[in-house]
Amino acid sequence: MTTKNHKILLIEDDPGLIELYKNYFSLKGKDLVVAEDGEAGLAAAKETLPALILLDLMMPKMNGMEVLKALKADPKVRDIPVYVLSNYLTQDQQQAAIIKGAVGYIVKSDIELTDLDGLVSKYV
Amino acid sequence: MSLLYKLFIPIAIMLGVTFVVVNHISVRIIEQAALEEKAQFLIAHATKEAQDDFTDQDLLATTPSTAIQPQLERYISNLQDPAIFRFKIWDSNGRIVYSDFAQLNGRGNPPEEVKNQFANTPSLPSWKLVEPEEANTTESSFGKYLHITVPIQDNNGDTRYVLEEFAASSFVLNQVSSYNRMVRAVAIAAGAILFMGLYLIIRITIIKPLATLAKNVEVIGQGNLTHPITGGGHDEIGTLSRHFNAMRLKLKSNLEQLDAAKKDVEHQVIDRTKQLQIEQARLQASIDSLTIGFIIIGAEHKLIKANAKLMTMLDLMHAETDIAAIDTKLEGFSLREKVDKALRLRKPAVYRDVSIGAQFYRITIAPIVVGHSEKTTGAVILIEDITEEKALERSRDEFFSIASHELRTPLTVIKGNASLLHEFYVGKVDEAKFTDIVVNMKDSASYLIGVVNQFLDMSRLEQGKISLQPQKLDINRLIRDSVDELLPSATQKKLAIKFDTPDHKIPMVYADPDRTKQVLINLIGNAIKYTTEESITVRTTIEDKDFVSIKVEDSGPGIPQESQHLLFHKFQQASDNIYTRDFTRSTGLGLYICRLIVRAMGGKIFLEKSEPGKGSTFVFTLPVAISIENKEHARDGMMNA
Repeated sequence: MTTKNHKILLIEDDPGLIELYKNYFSLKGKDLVVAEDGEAGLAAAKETLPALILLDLMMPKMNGMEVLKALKADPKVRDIPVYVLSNYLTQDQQQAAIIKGAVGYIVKSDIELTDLDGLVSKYV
Repeated sequence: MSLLYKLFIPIAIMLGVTFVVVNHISVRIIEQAALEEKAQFLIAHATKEAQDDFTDQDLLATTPSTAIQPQLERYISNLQDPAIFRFKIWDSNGRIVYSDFAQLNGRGNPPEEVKNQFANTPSLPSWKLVEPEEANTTESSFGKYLHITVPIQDNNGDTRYVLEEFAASSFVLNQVSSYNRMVRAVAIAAGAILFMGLYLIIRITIIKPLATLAKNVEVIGQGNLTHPITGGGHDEIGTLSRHFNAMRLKLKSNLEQLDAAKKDVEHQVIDRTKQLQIEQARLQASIDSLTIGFIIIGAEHKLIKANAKLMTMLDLMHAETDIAAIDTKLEGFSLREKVDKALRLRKPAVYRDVSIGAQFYRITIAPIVVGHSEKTTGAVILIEDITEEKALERSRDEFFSIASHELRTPLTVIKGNASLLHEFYVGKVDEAKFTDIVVNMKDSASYLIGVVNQFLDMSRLEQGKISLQPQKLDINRLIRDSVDELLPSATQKKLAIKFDTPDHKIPMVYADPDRTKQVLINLIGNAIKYTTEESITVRTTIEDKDFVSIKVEDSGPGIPQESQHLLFHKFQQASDNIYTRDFTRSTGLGLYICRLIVRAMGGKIFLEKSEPGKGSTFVFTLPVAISIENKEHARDGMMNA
């Protein structure tokens, strides 16, 4: 990770959540970049090379797992830590995400915003 | 041979023999009497003539032989009789002084009878029957002879001479024979009359009634029981007739009863047959009206009955349907093999989710076991098309998943924004109630997320979509973690949570840690929710070598007896009724989800005890890890759950 910046890439398709996270992280003084589908997310990751990627799983065009696989296959972005975001994750899905190279998983409905901020702060 | 002959041949023989014997005896008696009479007559005649013809002077003469000769001759001539053919007169010296047979004159050897006449003085005349040679004659044609000796006595009674005469018995007998013949004729006539009479009597009194009886009995024998048996009067045949008649009446009544019984049975058979037809029609109508496919097969897979639904369901033609055709339609299922298996095990088998082509079927095979025997006579097969049911189930599941997902995202946004407001704007808005409003929003959103999570959890557990990750687990440690987690909410209500575990080591359990924790949080959380004072106790005990049990005791209001059965069911809270909602906010799914989880891990969950006002004790058990390792199949079962 040679070009370390303080950008957080959120790949998420739900406008409500995008709005929430944008507002929250701007209030927290963090730089959040948003991509609204998998393909756009993958492109944005390569372009901006963020310090952290928050990746939703259920998305149009390219789902989160495919994006994760693509990210980990590309040496340019391979080392960027990825947190998998979901509404509901079975243990199998959690394990699959870890195996594919995510550093962790976040259940969006369960996590408190402050806790999310704490997590993100380790990387940016 | 008729009875008449049987009776009369011996009777005739007996009569004949009797006649012969009686005739013989009577002839003998008559002849004897005739001979006796003749002899007596001859004796009397000779005795009288002797007295008349001789004087004492004649008899006492010392030289008599010549002097008396004329008297003797006169005497003999007086005695002439056609029967007598020989005379002799003997003197006391044993000489013949007179004989009608000249050669014998003078020669003497008198017979015993003559000697006796001289020896016994005074003596009596005698007679006897002798053979011809004794009479010195060969003229046997006369038969026997009467040999008569008569003494000729003087006045003193001394025997001076003895007359010896022979009379031919035939002379006597010829006279009686005609009489005898008459007697015989009369006897024969009497016998014949007797015979005829006997015949008539027997014929009238025995044979005829017997013949009538026989005829009557024959009529009965031919089956006509209405013909009365009469006759015979007050004798044995009459008794026999009456007995026969009584027998006939009895037989008639029995036959009538039998006939009635037969008719009754026939009626019953007709009734039963009708009943059976009705039952069969009902059965056919019932099975035809079934909305599931129905097959009865007999031995060796012979198709006995299949209903209309089966035909349409499997698109079969009625005429050519047999078990092989059905088997072909259920390709890949191998119905006959499954039937054989069910028959072998003599247990019904249910095959859920049999997928054939685009359809799903539920197939039930129930062997027909006869009584309590070992025998099976076939099987009943039920085939249900559950394709629609499956589709419905799937859409319901999908609805739950989608609804949960779709609900959660906006809820997360609401909750997040409430948090955001709380964190950054509470101090900036000049309104006292703003904080409360924001906190209320945030809590409600959190609660709603919890509800949705429970729905999703339940739905996934019910569908078996959650695969548990069981592992060796220190249950005590998990309990301590859970208690720590819940301690803030307990402290808030000023409640203490005690943890009580025995000194000896609780064995490792085999369970999914996250799900077990979920159960613990639920049970302890409930205890906190419902308890207002005192404390909550969590205990672990070794139930037996296979299970560890975890008990959560509260001192809450307890659960009324009548509501306890509602626990662990979907959307049930053990409150008095659905309108009296629990004062705590709850979906009523918590215990149901706990039950799904505990069961999936091979344990049990139940309410151990609950007394109103004294609290409740909830218990769940978890399998001991070692015991699970020994039971591979149990592990497999849990993995599949």
